[in-house]
Amino acid sequence: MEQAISKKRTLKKIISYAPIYLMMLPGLAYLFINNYMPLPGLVVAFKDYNAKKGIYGSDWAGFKNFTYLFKTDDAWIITRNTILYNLAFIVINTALAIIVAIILSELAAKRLKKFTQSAILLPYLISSVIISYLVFAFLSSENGFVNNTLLPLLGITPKNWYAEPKYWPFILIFVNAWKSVGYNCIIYLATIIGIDREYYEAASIDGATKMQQIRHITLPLIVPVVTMLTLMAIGRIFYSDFGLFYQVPQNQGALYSTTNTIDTYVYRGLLQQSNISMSSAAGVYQSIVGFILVLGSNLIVRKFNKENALF
Amino acid sequence: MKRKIFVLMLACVMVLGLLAGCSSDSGSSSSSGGNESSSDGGGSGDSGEEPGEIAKLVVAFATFVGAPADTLAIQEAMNEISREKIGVEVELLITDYASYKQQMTLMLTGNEPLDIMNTLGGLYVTSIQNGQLKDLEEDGLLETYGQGIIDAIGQEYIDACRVGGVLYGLPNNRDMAQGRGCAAIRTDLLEETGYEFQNGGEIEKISLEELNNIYAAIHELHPELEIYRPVVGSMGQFSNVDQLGGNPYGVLMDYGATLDVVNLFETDYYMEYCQRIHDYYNKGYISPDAATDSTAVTELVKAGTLASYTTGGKPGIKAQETNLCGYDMTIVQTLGDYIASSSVAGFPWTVPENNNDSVAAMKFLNLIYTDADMMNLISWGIEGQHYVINDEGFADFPEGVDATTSGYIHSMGWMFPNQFITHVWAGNDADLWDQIKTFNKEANKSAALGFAFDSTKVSTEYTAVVNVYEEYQKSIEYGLTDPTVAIPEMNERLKSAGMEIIINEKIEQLNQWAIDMGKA
Amino acid sequence: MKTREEKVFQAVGAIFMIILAAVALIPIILLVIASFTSNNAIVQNGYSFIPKEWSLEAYEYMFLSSNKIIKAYGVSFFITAVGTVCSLVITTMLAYGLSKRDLPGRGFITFYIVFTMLFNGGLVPTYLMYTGIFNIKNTIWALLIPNLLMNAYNIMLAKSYFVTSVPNEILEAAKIDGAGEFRIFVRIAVPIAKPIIATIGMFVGIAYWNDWNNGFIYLTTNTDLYSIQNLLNRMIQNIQFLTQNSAGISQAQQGLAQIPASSVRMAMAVMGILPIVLIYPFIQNNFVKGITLGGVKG
Repeated sequence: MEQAISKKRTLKKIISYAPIYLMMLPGLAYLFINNYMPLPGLVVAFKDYNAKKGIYGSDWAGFKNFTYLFKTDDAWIITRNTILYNLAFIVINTALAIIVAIILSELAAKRLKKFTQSAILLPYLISSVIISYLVFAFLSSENGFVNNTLLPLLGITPKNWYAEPKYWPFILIFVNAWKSVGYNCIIYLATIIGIDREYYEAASIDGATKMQQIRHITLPLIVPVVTMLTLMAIGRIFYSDFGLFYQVPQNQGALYSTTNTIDTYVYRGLLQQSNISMSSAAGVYQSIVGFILVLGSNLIVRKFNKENALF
Repeated sequence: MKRKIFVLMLACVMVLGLLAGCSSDSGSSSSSGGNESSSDGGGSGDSGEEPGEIAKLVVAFATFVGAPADTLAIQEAMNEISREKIGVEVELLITDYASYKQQMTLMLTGNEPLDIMNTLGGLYVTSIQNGQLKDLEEDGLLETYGQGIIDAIGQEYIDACRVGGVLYGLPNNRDMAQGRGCAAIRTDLLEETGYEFQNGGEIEKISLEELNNIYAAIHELHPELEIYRPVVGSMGQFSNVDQLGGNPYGVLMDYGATLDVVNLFETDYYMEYCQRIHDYYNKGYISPDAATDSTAVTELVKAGTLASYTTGGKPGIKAQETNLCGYDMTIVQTLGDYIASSSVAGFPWTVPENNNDSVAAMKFLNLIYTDADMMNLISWGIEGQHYVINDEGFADFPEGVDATTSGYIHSMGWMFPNQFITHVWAGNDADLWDQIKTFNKEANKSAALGFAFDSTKVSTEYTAVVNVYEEYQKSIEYGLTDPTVAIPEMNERLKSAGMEIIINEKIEQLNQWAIDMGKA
Repeated sequence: MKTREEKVFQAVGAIFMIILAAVALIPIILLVIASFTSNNAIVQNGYSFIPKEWSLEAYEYMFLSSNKIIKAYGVSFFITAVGTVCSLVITTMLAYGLSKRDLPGRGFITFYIVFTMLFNGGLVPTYLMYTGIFNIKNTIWALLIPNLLMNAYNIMLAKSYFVTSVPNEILEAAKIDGAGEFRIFVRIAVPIAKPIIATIGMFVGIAYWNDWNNGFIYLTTNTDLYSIQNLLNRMIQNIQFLTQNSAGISQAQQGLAQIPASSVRMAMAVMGILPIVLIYPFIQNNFVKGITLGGVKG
């Protein structure tokens, strides 16, 4: 009897939510079409693709298409590079974006605020290829700004930047931050602005300093957004920005030890082979690792605060 | 306000509904005409057509900048001829080179209408590996409908396109051979060094030592100039090496005189070559930016900063390079002329499995290989509009038209089936085509002519080896590092990446090929 | 009533932002100057802030092929505007629904959405589906729909905002007053959510404006539909392919000579970001207005 009543209640509930479901329908339908319908195509990673037989008719190949990602000496390097860069990006870019967002939100000089916010957003709009030319303009051996103007001023001997792998982690992290801080801070800015001004007024009446206000009001209130964005970034930890790691170092072999990531390795290796199964296998590999990591991190976050978890 | 949002929402939902349901003929809603001949999904079906109906084919190829403005006009002019002669109409699908391989791969996989496809960009071997090209001799197709092609190209070159004994594509008529070890040098700089020009012939044949001396002399006179700029293919170009299967992992030395496959990177040739370039670098002939700068060598010469670069020798090369560089260029050659095993099948014309009417496709191919009007249309455009025949019988721009304003210009004449039957463009020798034929005939020919390598069995090792080679390639071959140290290091890593496995596979395939071709 | 600490904070903050802005802008200024440099000067000396030779040749070349560029701008504007609006509508509706704590199946739907962020069928299956089943190749839909119309990231952001900033009490109150769900959404939730809508709108707008991938893959014959970024990227990729393969095809040098030179690449890049630079100040005004109006709580 109890069960029947609760079932009836649930049914009633669902019906009462009907308008809501209707509103959600276009979005869910789109995700189905765009993301779920092509998903079965992932099986091509496990098959010996032959065009005559099509994706579904081709023979099974088990994990054969995945071996090339592990069997090589480079496997360790590309994995290490991908993970370390992404960790650095997550930490540095988030910290920088939060700092910038806080400062922008507090800045009183309106014109300055508007101008600088627009200025730092611009780099995001430039494509990686152009960025690679700009970096070349600075780092070129013969004509580069750094070698010709900057270093002589500081009394340091010019270097052939594109031949020294050890500088590139710093260069790439800097370029990536340059490109994305203006874009990343937008979301934090929007969140901060949404915080009720009354909190701050109350705090300053109580005598709290600016820094204290930031530490005790602003930061805690943006934790949900930060958590969510970080979790999502963790899900993409095996992916890398192709433009950043392929174009900006000008595809220089000498720099591979610090700039070769999983994506660039796969691209280079398969460029002459055109093997759909193998490139799909790389994608599956990256997705699965990301998926496991997100599940894990999400569980950890749940232990602290259920609300902040993704699901 | 609420009204507006509601209407907008309705629109979006309708939009999505439109898509989710019908596979509408949205293909024709975008105006760019000429699409009547392509149907949705699946080949240009002619199953159930009455006799006398026109077959419609999609012909795809790439140019460096995409479809020229007047493509439709050319297409119509071609169709007028082909409709009458063989009952076939074509749609020219011209894409720019950067996206060509990607788009063709997708079209092949998606079984879209695609009847004749040029395989520029490495598409040939990969499409065969994926089983996407038709056998051109099935049911005697080539024999029955393509006699003109066999006559135009010659059986030897046609056989050179076989893979595993099956003919999947047709080569075109062009310079198959390449003058190896060639460099283009600015004539005025050459003259300054007191160089004595040989009489006659547009290519100066000199020794490698003489080349070194020339560079030294120019450098002394002009220390501010970049003397030589290597490019990615310079090493292969400056050698008598046959890169089997189009890659340097297992090669034949010595103009492919024998079928002995060796590891190129362990040969004396490779060490000597790299040492020579390293020497150039130390002497200041090569810019430290050579590996990273993406400016074209011709642009560098044009701007006056570069003196010389590697090039491939062939009839007409001097005029070509002079044209590109804006300076008179002298071409010197230090090695012989050579047809490598993979040069004939560089980018054959193929019939993909997407095609539904092999007979129509072969008929069209036969027509374009033999009909001068068709070839002139596709190579140069419409007479009177895009070119005129001048007094000396050459083709040239009409009054008031030049390379930037012409509605049909693509510089891809060398890619089309049979340029030997087209007009010669002004600025070249009148007997250019004969020169090329002789050039091809008299060149060294690789013993492995026509061999194609199937990398599927060794794809893991191949991926790893490519990454290792590309890591070292530029530093070693552009002279930036000491080869006596770097080459052994690279070889170590190549070995552990599986280089020997690849080479053994190549040896096995080559031996099998020799047996199949009756050459063992 | 500005305390000393406040003044110091303002000063330090201002200096910090000025430095950031300078670092952001300096390379862009270089880009603009390079587009006004003669090609020869670039080849000889590289990009420099004080070029040896100024020239308009890059822009002259671009406007010779003018109708391509104007068309490309038109396409870019259209898809950015239409795409952004459609995306905002369906994203906010979905996020709003998801923000309801008592929604049956909420956890499942959330997982359904987040899963799409982690797994992707890949280029070929996606292409096969859109081309084979929906036939959008060479149409405007190919620029609007694949991958850009909505993504899980934006949905989660919007949902988070609805959850934290739209008080349940207000919604309940409206329901008691007899308002329908949709009306509540439009009249109450959306105005409060203006900051996040503006933010997501900006993200989506930039994504549409920057996208060249869809055009690269789905537009083969219909070159009228090239967006400005697509045009630019094709040109640049053509150059790169040719420089990398130039020995494999000795005729590649000819192709390179046909493609616009170094200074034109810069000019194209400038043209690519110019509209945004011009329009952004206006959007920013509304952004701020929307935020301050919507942020007032009572």
